[in-house]
Amino acid sequence: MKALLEYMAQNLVDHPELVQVRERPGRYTITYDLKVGPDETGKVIGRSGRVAKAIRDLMSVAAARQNKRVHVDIE
Amino acid sequence: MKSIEISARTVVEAIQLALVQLNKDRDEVAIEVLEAGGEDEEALVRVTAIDDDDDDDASVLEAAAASAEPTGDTTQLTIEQIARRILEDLFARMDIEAFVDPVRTTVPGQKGEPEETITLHVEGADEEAMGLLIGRRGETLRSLQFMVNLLVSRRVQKWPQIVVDVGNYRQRRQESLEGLARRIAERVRQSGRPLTLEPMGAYERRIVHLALRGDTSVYTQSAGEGETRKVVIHPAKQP
Repeated sequence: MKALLEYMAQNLVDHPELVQVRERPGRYTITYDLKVGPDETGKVIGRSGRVAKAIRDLMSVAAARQNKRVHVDIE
Repeated sequence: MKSIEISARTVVEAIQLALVQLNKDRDEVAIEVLEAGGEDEEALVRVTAIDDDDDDDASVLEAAAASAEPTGDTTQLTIEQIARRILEDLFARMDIEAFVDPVRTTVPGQKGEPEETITLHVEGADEEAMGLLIGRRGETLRSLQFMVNLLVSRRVQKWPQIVVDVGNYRQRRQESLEGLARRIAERVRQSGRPLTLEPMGAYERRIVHLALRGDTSVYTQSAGEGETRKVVIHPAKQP
């Protein structure tokens, strides 16, 4: 799941080396904190949050495959 | 008039793809089979829209951006391969096993320049996984398609139009929406009262409008804003 988030984020920004993903496991829900380079947050959020929604939808599929729930926080 | 040539494993599949691309019903197009296809030969059909009155809801094809430089076969093949690879990369990280089959179609654009659409057909044995990819009313599929378009355009510095379809969902959804539209229209006809459908996206509302366009006993309108926009089917005004 972490690999999916890293893959999407790194390929959406101009500075993939600045992408950081922190994983915080819970009993049912895993939370990911996504951090990207300065001025690149917009690239992972998008107009009206469309990119962020796509990221969260696809992360939910990956989570469902492991019978988990997922929460993605974008810093 | 829009005409596209499309190849697929079988003639039926090619026609279905073409109808989805053109946003048309089978009775709104002329179909020519150019190659019937065989065991290791793909079928090729030419499908031409008979009438071409476009809805406000822009079709995916109209939204296709024409690339700045002329694209030869090699370039287009490369975009197909890149698109397929990106989708496969996503699946691998989602723990989903699926087969991705890219099909390229070209339609003449507004200025006659070719506009291409790449459809990535996804097939997988795991029905549950395929259902997850589609999501409720195709919402996850829309997100997947959006993400693939973003990632591909960043990679190739162009905006090819990429459609992602899972297990022919788009065609099946179209057929079920058309059936729903006709059933509700029948109830409207009998009761003489308008009925409102559930909220739908632009693409799906368009399917409903088109399904009832030839029906003189009812007329359709979209009402509401944004996420809650829905189709209302009204009885035809009395003469």
